[in-house]
Amino acid sequence: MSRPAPAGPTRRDVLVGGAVLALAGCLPADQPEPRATVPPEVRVRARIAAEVSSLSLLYAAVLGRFPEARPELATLAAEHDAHVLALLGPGARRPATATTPAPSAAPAPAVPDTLVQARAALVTAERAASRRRARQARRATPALARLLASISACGAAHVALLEQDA
Amino acid sequence: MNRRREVQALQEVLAAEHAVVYGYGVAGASLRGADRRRAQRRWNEHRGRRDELAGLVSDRGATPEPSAASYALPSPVESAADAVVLTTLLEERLAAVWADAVLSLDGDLRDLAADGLRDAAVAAALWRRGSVPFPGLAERSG
Repeated sequence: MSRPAPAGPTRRDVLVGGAVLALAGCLPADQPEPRATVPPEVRVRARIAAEVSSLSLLYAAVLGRFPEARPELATLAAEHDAHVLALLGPGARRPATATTPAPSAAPAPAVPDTLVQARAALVTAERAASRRRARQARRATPALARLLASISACGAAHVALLEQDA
Repeated sequence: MNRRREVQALQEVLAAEHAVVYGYGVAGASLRGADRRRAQRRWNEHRGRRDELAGLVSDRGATPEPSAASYALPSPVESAADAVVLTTLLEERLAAVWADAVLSLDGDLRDLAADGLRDAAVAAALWRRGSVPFPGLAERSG
């Protein structure tokens, strides 16, 4: 998650990324019997949050490369951060790892050479993520399904807005 | 899935779609050009959903919620700008009803509710020219 300023992740990206790692990545190593002690729904939510955070990272990479797109894209990016936090729940807002950058986080996603191509990559990623959230909603408990359906709907709205302004 | 709860959830979105169809009829009259065409397209989509929902309720042996003769609109329409405010509001409120239906429905009907939520969220975003993070979830708005 370390990219050069001003292209690098915001403090919020680091917070979100740290929270995802804490729940999705670090739990099994930190606890002797994680699968027995972590409720299944928490694991499901953490796994989906990790998937959503990859979308956040793609936006961060695009904004790092094309800062002129910030007025249009920053709001959409922030909404994915909000999705990650909602999936992780209120307890994840101040993760223990927040003050230190994640050591071996996923590498920054590749960004195309032009803003037009980058926007197309965002549309593709948004559409795939929206469909995936809808499929996950089908199998989820009712309350999580409602949240996932809303996140899916938000992604579909992003696609529509990005395509309209293209 | 409790059949009565399922029918009740379908009736609630059906009632909401009736109101939205009425609202689009009012809003469309004040719109011109691309906005009017979008309103007409969306009006047709809402009528399709309404008929689909009425069919699903009938299939379950219940009487579909009828449309009211008229509805109190949430905002007055005296201009094209008013009409866009109204269509945005109608889609936002509808998104919340579809989102609650997700809670009560399973399987294909849950997919239907998620689709309804998605379509309302997309339409609301295009009308207001902006996004919200959690369409349909009143407790997470603002």
